[in-house]
Amino acid sequence: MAHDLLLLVPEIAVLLTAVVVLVCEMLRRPRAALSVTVAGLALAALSAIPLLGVESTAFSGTFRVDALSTWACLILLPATALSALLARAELAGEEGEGTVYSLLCFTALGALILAGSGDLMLLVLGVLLSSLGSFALVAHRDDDRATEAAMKYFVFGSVSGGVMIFGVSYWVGATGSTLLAALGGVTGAPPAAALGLVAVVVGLGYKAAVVPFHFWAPDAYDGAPVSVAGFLSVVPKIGAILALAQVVRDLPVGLGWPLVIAAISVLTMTYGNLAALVQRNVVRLLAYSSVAQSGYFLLGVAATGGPLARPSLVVFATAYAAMNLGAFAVVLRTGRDLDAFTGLGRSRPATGAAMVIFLLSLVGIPPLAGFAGKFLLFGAALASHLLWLAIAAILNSVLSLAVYLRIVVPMYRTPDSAPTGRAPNPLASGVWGIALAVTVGLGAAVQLILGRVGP
Amino acid sequence: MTAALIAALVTGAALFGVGLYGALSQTNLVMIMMGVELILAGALVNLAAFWRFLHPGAYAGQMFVLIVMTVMALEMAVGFGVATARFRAKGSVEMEEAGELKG
Amino acid sequence: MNPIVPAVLGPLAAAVAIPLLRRAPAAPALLGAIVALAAGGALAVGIAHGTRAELLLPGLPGLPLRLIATPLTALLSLVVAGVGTLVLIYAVGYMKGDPERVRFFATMSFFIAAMQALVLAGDWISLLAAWELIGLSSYLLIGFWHARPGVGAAALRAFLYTRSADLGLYTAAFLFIAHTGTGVLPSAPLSGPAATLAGLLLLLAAMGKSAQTPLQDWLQRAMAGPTPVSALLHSATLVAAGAILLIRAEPLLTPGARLAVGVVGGVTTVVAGLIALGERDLKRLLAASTSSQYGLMLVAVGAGAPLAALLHLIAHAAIKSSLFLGAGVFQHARGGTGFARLRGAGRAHPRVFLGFTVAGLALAGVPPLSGFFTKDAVIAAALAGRHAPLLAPLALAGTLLTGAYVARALRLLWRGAGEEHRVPGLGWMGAGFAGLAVAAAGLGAAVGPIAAWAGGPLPVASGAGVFGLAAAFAGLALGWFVPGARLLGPLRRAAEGGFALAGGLDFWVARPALALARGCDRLEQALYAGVLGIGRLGLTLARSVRRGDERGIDGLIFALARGARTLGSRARALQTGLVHRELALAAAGAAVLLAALAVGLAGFR
Repeated sequence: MAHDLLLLVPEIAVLLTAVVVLVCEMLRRPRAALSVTVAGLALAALSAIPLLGVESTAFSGTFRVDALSTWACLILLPATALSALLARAELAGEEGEGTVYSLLCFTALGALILAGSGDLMLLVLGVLLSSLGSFALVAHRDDDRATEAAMKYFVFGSVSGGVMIFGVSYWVGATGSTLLAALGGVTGAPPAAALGLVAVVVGLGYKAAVVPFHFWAPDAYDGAPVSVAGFLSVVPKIGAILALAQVVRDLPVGLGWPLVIAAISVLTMTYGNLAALVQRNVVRLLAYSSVAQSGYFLLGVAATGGPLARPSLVVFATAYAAMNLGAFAVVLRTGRDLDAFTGLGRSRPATGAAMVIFLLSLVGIPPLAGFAGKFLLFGAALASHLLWLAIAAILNSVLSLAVYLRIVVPMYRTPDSAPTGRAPNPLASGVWGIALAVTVGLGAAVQLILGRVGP
Repeated sequence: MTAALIAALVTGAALFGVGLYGALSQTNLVMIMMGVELILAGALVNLAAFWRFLHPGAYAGQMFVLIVMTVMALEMAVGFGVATARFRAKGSVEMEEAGELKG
Repeated sequence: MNPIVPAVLGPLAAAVAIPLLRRAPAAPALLGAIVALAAGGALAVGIAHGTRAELLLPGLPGLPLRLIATPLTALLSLVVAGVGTLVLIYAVGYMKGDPERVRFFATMSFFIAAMQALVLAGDWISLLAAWELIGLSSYLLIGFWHARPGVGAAALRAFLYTRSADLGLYTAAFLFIAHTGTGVLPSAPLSGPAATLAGLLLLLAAMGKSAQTPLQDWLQRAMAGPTPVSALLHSATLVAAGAILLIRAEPLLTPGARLAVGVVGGVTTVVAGLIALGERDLKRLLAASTSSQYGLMLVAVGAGAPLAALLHLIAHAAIKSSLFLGAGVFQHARGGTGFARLRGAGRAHPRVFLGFTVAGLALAGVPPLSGFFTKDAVIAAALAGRHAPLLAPLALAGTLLTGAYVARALRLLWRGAGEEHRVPGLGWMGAGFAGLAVAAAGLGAAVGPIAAWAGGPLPVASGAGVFGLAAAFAGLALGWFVPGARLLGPLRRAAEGGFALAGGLDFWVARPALALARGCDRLEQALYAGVLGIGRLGLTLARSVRRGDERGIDGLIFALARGARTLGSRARALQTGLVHRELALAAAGAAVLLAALAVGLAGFR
């Protein structure tokens, strides 16, 4: 029991942080709430470092402590802290500012549970926890757009979640256990196995914004505060992708899941890139781009079992968290409309350069972090004999260039009118500064990470 | 497989079908939430039946039932929260009046 | 210190420093290029003393990033840095007064750094990375004047063409790494069909970058960029990357792949030569000529003489960059590079014209200029190679066409008169230009030593010199004596010129050539239309995806849903919230998935 608790120290730390933050909010101390959030999440992330290299399970196999879940702590908790700082930059002084920090922590906890789930019940709880927090975060502003976004998100989320629970009930019937490790037994009942697989794809696919379960994402991001949109595009998504990797790890290959995941992957990245091509609202554009990036993530999931699958997922998750949060931080300062970006590269060269680097990294231009991640993902797909999938992904990264250049090109054009961007905010600048350091540095540090992930 | 199990599974599937149809066809947020409840009820019936007729020794099935009940309760609480906020902002919880965000 | 570090880091540091300092952007750029040049020299000296510099960086597991200096790579590094330095000197004058100098010099420095990384790359992954970087920076440079009409499209086309072809390099690199288990360059050759496949994939990548038929279109349109950019792109960098790749990978090519390389090169040299002959814009003529000359290099690689290709590449780097720099002076003097404007521009600037002529004659292969020796080597390689009956005539035809279009350009610049503008910054431009023109003239003397140093005998074939000279002079005479107006007339409108009456030479040589050129042009247009069509298809798809929620697939599903609901509330049947349609789509997606799985499982059992 004590040993089990030790393995769960990061998650427990996040839970305590969330509760303390809530108390701070009750005492009307939003600044203290922010400090507690950042410090608590940092401590939680630090406490995950001793777990590197541990391959174990806690509480009768229901929670897995492995490379995926530990790295999820190391990636998602700093990302959550950065999101909290962004939220401070955007929402300081608003009603219920402290609740936002608390909800960020709860949602992150849900994502961590997803990433380490070794049991169907934890899977359900993880989806639930990260969804409920997200709904409330989207609705934070309480206005027409925010509540509309939250309502759509809620409807989509609750229906998908319900479908997932219903579907996995057949897995329980087929194996007599709720442990993922027992999933090898589903071969005895193919219809039940197929139903459960589809249901899990629906539930986790919704969380990860995978086509065709992504419809909520652009609306929710658009209605939510920008900082929340950045958070939603990173933390719950990565949690769900890692959960999917945990599920398929134990699923018999004969069920055909690699093909299912690969097909969805191609569909997702193509649809995301195409839809992003015609957006004029940068937040919606980034929303569709994050849909497309989910497609790249699925390459690593489809290759589960191969030697490169886990390292590629971890490296790409790190890269994606940094570059996407950075891009949202710049959007926070600049504005949602594409026109607001005209001339940004001239009026604020540093911000402009950072944005260019984030976007190029999202395309996958070397030597930035995105390249390292995508390269490993392509390699993982190739190692699992999914050459066509890798080629589709490479073609898509060609296509995605057009998407991101739509933001880059006007940035270096002379604006027709005076720039209307908001006043500089040291917090937002700090956030994109950190994200920039990771985006640029990860390419060089990738060896370091790989050495610690293991196959 | 016993006839009782089949009957229970058919009941569960029927609940799921009605619930999904409701969630897809209703335009009022509260009605959609009822549809979701029915979907979850279908899952509950399934889980209980599997435990009772196939794996009576596995307590995990019962645990799962409890978890699903928690999910139902929490989802309803948050759903009503969202509905209240929406009602305050717009004066209705009709989904068809929510078409501002699109494209 | 390892000289490889400053070779790459020098220009890179300049690229970083320029936007930070913002003042006097040319100085750090020049400094960076000179550092790279000095480092290249140090590498070469080191190799002469028998030490091979190597730099290992941590990369992927088991695949460290590696930069190496071999005789070949050190030489190329020297060429890149040298041409880069001279072009930058020229650009100080050319860009005088441009408000975007900071961006220009920063990107140029970055470009040179990326190219240095490419030529020094010692493994597939660094090669891939550098390859991507030069593609990106060339996109930025071609689109430098993005506010002007058509420039953005030109830059995008350049990027699309080269990037689609890059797929070949990616796949080839994966093939090599997967089969040999290591990324080290040069890799061990593969065996079996995979080897030929890999060779063809490399050829595809090289065709994109080196603008070989049928992918040559982007290069001419890339003339939209500033002239120093064209000079650098065409001589030692972007376009050279394709040829360099093939020269470095030559030992890996199977006989079949070699034949393909030679044929592609030979066809390009003729087709692009014809296009150059039909051009009405000096910069576009030079661009077509670049494709044609790289075609000759590919012929040499295909004939199994990469050394000849390398020599021609080096000589061409000096020649073509000086031609472009000269054209840039004329451009400033006349406000454009269309033939109509340039009439007699050479007479007004005799010194520039002298340099331009020297470089042009070197390109045509007139002794004792550099191009004579290297072209001789290429023709000798074609004659001595395995597929001589196929490749040698193509190489000779390319030489003939080179002479013809060079003479045509020279004649045009010499005859006639036009309105002159004052040219600012001529001093800097002249300095860079003169340096390159001297190199273009004198590099011939270095051919022997370079060949000996790079460690291979030059191909020899009896009669190569005679054939080459004959072709070059015939071409020059043809280009000079067949009047430009007659060559041009039918291009505008066949009926307008007195073309059919011009007599034997015109009828037998010029007309078929022009018809062919027109045909090529049309082929190109068709290809372009195809590419455009694909682009349009993409856009249409994107639009329909956006509307997919309201119409399309959704319409079908919605129609079904409506049918079911008419029984219930007829009043509301026409309006539902968006979420419903979306949910219905999601449910349909899940159903399709389930059906696919069910079919799959049933099939497997």
